[in-house]
Amino acid sequence: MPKRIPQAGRAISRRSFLTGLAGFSSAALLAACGSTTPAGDSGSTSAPTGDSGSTNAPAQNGQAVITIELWDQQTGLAEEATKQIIADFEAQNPDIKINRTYIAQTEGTQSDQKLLTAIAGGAPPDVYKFDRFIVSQFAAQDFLTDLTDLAAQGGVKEDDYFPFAWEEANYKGRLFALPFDTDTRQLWYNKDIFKEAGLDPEKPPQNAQELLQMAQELTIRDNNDRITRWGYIPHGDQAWIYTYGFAWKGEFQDPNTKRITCAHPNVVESMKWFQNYANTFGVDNLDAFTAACTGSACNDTNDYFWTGQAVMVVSGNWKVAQAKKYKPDVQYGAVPFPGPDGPAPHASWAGGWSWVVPKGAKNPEAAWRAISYICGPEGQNTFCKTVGNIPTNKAVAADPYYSQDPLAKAFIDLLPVSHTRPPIPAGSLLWDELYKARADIIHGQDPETRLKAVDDLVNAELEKLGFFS
Amino acid sequence: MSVCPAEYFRSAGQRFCDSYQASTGEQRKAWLRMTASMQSAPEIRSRQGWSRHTWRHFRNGIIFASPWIIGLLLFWIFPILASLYYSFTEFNAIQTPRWVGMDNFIAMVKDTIFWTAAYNTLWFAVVSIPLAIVWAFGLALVLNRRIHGRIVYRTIYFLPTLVPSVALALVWIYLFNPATGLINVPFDWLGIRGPCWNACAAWSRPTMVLLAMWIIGGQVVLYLAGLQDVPQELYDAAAVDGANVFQQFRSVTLPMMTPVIFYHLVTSVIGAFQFFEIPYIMTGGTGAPDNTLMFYSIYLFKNAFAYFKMGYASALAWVMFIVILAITLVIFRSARHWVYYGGADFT
Repeated sequence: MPKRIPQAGRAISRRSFLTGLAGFSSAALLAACGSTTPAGDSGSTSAPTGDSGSTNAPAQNGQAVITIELWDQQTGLAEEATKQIIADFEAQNPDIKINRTYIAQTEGTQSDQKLLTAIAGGAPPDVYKFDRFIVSQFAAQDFLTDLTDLAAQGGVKEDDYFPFAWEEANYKGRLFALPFDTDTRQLWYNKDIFKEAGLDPEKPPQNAQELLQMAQELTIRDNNDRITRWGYIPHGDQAWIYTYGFAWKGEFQDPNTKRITCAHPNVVESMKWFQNYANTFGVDNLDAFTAACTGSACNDTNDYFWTGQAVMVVSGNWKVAQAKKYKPDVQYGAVPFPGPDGPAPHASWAGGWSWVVPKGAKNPEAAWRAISYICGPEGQNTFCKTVGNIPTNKAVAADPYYSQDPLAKAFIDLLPVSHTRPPIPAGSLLWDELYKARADIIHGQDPETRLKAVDDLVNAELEKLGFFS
Repeated sequence: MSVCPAEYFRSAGQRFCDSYQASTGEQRKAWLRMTASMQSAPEIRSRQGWSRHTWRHFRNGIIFASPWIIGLLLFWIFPILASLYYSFTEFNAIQTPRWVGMDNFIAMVKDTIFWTAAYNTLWFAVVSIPLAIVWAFGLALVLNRRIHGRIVYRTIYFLPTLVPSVALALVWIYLFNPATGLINVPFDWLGIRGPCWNACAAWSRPTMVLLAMWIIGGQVVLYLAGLQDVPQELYDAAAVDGANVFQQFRSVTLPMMTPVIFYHLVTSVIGAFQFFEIPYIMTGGTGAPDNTLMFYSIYLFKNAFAYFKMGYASALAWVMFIVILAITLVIFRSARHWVYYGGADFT
């Protein structure tokens, strides 16, 4: 194709044009880098249509619609429930639009690297779903917005929620999260396999000694001494040091000094039982299970309990909904964990989630309205009925719906005796240390020495954070 | 035999060196005068300062390169210097850093997991690097033979390199599971219990070494390219001298391949210290069993993003940097004794 050069248009030479272009682009780059305000403007100018049905903060006609960013880590049923809650909230609050983003969960629930990075980068979401037991840790690090005043204005009261959940959402007397759902823990067992193995399916183990005995009867090994069916997996699912420690009536925190006391004699006792159990069934077999279930390899349908590779496990109320979904034809039972001298309902501990407003959120007021709806009666009701979790809002929990299923009721009935993990600003560190300690105890370390080391490390960290002063 | 003057060798190369040796005294003097005048020319110019024209070129060059220069300063130099500063502070990425002097480095000495992580990483480096060199070099030698279907073999050995390491790690979790993994099926046929692989402390680190050998395709390609660069004349000459295959390998192939080995050694030292994704995913970030897979980079990552100890993590990063730097320097210093660049001297 012949080229025609428009002579009249050559007002600038190619060289000066390119020079100018280079200068311009570098200036633009500088401007973009130096800018501290995020590129996206969250405000839009379209007026809302229709009246607000919410009494929380009525929208006025002509007011701009605010879009807030919401991040969560949920998939499956929980995701569906959350989408429904968002739609309901938006219908009631036409002046707020929620933009939900799914954040893939890394590393269990113990660290929220993406949130931390977003806060540090000055672009956090307005609303974030957060594991409740590490709220105080994130609050101590100044990662969360103080919600105390907003709660007072919005009429959200301590009395609306179960005390343990409310306590976890507070740090040093200030509110940093709103409690969402909760869970409790006990011993699940497979009645069908009990029958098949000649055990009475209505007589699950009553104490730790029976647990060991029955586990031995139920365990199947192959020719190479590998376990192909576990009677009871001592370190699977919810069989954390907390579960054993609470079952043996141990205490993880001194109520007066607030110091961490994992080396409490009863916790040590429970870990001795655990160590003996591990040795009875072979450390290499325990290791094989750990390696096989790294990450989420044994979640949901791959769970050893659903596949029948485990007859007894410690687990939570979420298994009620899962049992109906994955194994409707198999009979399961759930009873309090067998403690050293009889059933130990107090082995249960309650965890659960909350919703927070990260530090630096662009729209804290709108975010507050969103989380007070999500964690309020309507949001909790939608979520817990879909997913099968226990609400933390007292009014919601009183709904007879939650006590219809006898299995589900057994879990809810555990709430009054359930413990919580120590609400300390190093919850994630303590969790990780206890995880490592459990592994070390499996591998033969002396329980008392090892747990003492956890105490020393975590208390030193708490000391540094000024937690005891 | 007389030797070339060094400056002459540098400017002209071996071929001219040979003709230099063949030349007469008069010609040599003329050559030396010529090279001397060529070398002194830039000095004269710089003493007079740059012309306007040169300045303009310089300025335009800077402007054109500025996106890169700014990027380098902003996204490389600044973070590097910032992390040096943070390594002397207590910093959680949000609050203002608090200066603590050498505390982070002192804490490191007392931190048992730091030593475990350092030991694991060094163990992995010391065992895996020599093995990787022998294995990649050996594979390249075999794949360089005129065997039937060698393109197919080359593809097969390169394929694992194309798979993202995250996907590999996830597949390995299933393959290497001592209870149900496929890897132990042949042991079952023999009626013995297979190893426990990454599940138990005794086997976990060797398993990582084994896995590292899996993704060696990139290095094999390097060795293959190196092997094909060895001049055929050398083999012909060796054959004429009566050298057998092993002598040819020892006296021709191996010396000619030392630059590739050197490159592989340096990059794999750095790689070994930064070994992260595979153990991180295979252990869910825990370093299990018994902390034997707690590698240095995992520990660094956990301090930064799980415990918010950016200051301590920065200190860990600088210690790692200094150790890598020291080891690399030692390797570079040693290179002059064993790396052969076809007669050229680059050290």
